[in-house]
Amino acid sequence: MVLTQASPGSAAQVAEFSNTMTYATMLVLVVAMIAFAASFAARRTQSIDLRQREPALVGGAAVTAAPMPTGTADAGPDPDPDEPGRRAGNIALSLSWLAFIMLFVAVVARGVWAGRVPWGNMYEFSLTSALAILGVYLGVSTRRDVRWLGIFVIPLVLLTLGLAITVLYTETQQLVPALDSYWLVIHVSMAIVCGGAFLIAGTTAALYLIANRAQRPAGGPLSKLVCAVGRRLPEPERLDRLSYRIVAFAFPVWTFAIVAGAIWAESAWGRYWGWDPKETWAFITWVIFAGYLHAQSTAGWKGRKASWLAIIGLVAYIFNYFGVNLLFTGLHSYGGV
Amino acid sequence: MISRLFPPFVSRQDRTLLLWLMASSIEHDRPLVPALLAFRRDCAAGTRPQIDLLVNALESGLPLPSALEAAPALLPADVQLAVRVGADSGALARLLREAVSRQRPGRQAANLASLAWLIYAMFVTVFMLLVTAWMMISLIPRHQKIFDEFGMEIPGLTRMVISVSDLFALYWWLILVLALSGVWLLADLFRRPAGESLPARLATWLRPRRALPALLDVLSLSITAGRPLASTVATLARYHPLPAIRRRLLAVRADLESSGSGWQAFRQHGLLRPAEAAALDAAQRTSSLAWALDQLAETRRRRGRFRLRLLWEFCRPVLLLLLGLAAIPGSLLPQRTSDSVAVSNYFTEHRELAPWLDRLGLFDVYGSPWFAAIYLLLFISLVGCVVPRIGVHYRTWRAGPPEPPRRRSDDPIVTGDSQVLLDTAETTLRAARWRVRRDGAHVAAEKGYLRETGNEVFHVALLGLLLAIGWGAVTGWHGNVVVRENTGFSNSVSQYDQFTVGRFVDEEAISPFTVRLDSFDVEFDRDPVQMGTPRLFDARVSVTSDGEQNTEFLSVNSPVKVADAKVYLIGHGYAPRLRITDSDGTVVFEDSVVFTQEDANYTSAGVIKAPDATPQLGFRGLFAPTAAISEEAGPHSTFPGPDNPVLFLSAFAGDLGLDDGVPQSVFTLDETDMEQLGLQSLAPGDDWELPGGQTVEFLGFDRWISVKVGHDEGGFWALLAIVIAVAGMTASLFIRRRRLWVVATDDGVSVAAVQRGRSASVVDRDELLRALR
Repeated sequence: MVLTQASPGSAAQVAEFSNTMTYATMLVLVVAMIAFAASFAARRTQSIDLRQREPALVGGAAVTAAPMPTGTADAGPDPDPDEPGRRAGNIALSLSWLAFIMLFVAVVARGVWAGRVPWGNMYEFSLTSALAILGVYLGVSTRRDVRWLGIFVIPLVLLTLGLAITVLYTETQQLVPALDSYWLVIHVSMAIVCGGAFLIAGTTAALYLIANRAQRPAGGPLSKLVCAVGRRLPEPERLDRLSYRIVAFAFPVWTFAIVAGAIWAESAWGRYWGWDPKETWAFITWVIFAGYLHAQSTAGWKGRKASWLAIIGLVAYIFNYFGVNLLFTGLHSYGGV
Repeated sequence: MISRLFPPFVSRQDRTLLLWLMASSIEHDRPLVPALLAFRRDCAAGTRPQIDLLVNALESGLPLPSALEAAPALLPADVQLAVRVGADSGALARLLREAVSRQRPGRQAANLASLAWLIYAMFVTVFMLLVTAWMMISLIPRHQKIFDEFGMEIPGLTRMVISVSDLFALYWWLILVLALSGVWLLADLFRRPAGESLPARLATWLRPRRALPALLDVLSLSITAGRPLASTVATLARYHPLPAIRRRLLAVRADLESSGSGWQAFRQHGLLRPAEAAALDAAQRTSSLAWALDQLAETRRRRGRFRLRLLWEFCRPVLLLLLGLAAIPGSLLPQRTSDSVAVSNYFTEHRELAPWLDRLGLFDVYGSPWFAAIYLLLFISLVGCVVPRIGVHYRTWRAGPPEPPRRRSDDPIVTGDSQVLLDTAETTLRAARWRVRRDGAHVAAEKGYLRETGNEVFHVALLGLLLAIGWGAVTGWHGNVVVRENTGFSNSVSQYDQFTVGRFVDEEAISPFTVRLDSFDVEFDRDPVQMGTPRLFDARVSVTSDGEQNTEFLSVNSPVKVADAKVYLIGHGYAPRLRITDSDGTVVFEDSVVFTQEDANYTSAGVIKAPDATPQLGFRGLFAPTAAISEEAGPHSTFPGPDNPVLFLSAFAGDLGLDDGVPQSVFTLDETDMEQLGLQSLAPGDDWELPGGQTVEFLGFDRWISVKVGHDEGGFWALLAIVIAVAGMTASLFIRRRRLWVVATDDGVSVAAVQRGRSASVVDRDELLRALR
């Protein structure tokens, strides 16, 4: 186990329990990923859907006769229980819930061991971020049928957990005095939730691009792959709408995370905004997602351009986490690798 | 000149009347001047001077087309051109008749008058701005000089004006550029299709293509009036106001004369697109050419307007991205505002590059004019977008739910007595807090106005945020100072190690108070798992303000309020106390010296200088609160608390170089003229006799804290603004605007739903249907 230097005692056992749970979570997630993959591979490809839709697109009367197709697609889970691969998808989703609970226990155990909220350094932050990604995905899955999304999200969760437990793992429990504030709970938890939401939104935006590409015939080998994936995805409009919804949810939260950070900075450092690298990149992320929301209501920006914005925003968020913590020295660089 | 730039406003009605008048006069071969004079009595006051100009020109013997040029505001440019074409071909009356019939609504923006006023107001603003700028830049400094010479106290308000004038002198060009682009954008917002506003003229001059719809209109007019294409083109080529268009038309005329190739000649000379030329060729064959030309002109106009709107709307995402992009260098390069030491290091490391980066303002990105330019442009575009939207929103809100759309075959139907059903629908919708309008035959209901309201509130609140931050910057001040135990500082500029002050702040008038550090307690966790985590972090300070002395506790995350300022604990460390005795027994140094923290366990480094010793002594010191020595790390500390404090000293004797006149940092030791005497580690109470007979005693240590004192008036307002902004944003993101109509039919009612926004939701409609059925 990683925790070799820990001294004996119940506290160390709690830490070890947390690590064991994390490993177990990863194991469950691997199985979930396989099930998601099976479910995704079995999905109907959209070329069939396209053929079904074609007459509706051509005949004006047929379009008006259909009772608001977009509305029903958006309103709730896909009602089709005979969709191929649905059983595998159900299994994967159940496993994801199990993994979520296990990871939650691991995070709580970590917090108990540290005697504070478990996001004091990059390892803990990553651990909690993985929980948040999974949480946002499962949260979305209660309102929409997003079994198709699992195969893209679970590897990201696994990657986050893997990075956390191998590269970022630290035993330090030290908190710089400046971190010792209730704002740590508010500010960082909001940032973590936003991270999960931005990741899901960025993923769906990327999938939108793939699905959009897949509507044209495939050319080279790479585009064949893209089309193979893209034709198993829902219609691009649905993907676009999903990422808009998630960003719309996350953007106010992100704003509040920044504001909470500003209030905290005011009491800790004597100024509410000082263009510290972390603050700067939080601002950049904010600005990009503001641009995304604008773009979604601007004719020429909708769709592809907006999706790229969401992806760039996600990259800015990730850079704010890894890049700023590891490359720059600033007031926020007490995270401890 | 002014009337050319700002043509007086002539109403559409007057224009139509005038055209009709001219057409009938020419048709019946009656003199035009008496008719014009009669018209002058009835027309609007603003039109009269133009009529006078026209009459004068006609009476001086000019032909009608040239006379019309003397009164340029009377007729739009395309009609003037048509008059040219008509006069040259003898079909003037027919052309004028055609023009009358085409003065239909929709061609002209409805609010021409308000546009004229807007532009007028904007230019008055710019003019005032220029006058103010001149006063600020040249008058006020002179004024200030006079005050200075008489040694008089400048009143507060004047001082404020002077500060503003300084700002002006620095950024006058930026303000000018911003004001002009503001005029441009606002004017463009109310652009009118006839192309007579200054921005539209400029745009046409820059892009001759914009003149094409008017040209197509004239061609259509002349073709309707039965004129051959070649002669129309010839006239246009002579009289068109734009040289670029004239040149092309000349080339087209030459082509037409030599080959008669029709519309393809227009395409070849870049006046038409291939598809347009082909369409016109086809129209010519089916003799619907005039109609086709009209359609083409209209399409071009619409496309132009659409493009302008796109540009306007594209602006904001682009500017937002640009702002994000512009913020990046500030995080990559060291910034003067946060770390001036790193900036000077950068200068020594990159001798060539740094001055250039500095010229671009890259060491103070967030205060640089170009960064300001981006966010100010963003805010201008925001104002330009939000202000009209507020008006539109207010009007739609006042107007209430709109009329029902045309019935669609798939609208659900409820059978029954239509009036009863309408009543039920009305009460149901009203109970669900819809805005309802009941007409005899339908109920129109709308909900979710708050979406747009929230959107506007968000954007206005962002403006408020900018203002609050700006206000905080010009009215605030802050300083940093290091205080050792049992010492203090008073709140005046000279006492701070670093002090920043806003433009509107009088440095002499900042509230006087003193802060003294009585003691500083730190406790670190000794539990092996959480070794070294600070548990207690408390500074006891005595604050004297207004003659009252209070004891306060200052710690991280809980600043102390004194008068109108806040005192923050930023950092802390150790200050070893030493006594240095010269060889003759006189004490030349006895004080504690601030050492700066090097690592998490408070291994601290510092420099001690004893200039009064003979020879002068200097020491490099390393203080470890809990000392350990290892192979790799050398002397270092293993715990932040003072369990085993040891001072490692390296002594130098010689010339400290303090008398060269070059200012030296207290944290650096210039060893060039010094000789190293040796190394020694000292525990508290130890002394060390140097080779020259001098003695160093390590008496113990004090703690020091670094403190920031600041005054900020903008913070509260900024917070308020951002909270309002988030509330508005949330409303605009989550509230949906919905419309429902219940329309009476022969045997019941039909229910239609429209939802603006991203996805159509029929939930409301179905709920209403359930209530009705």
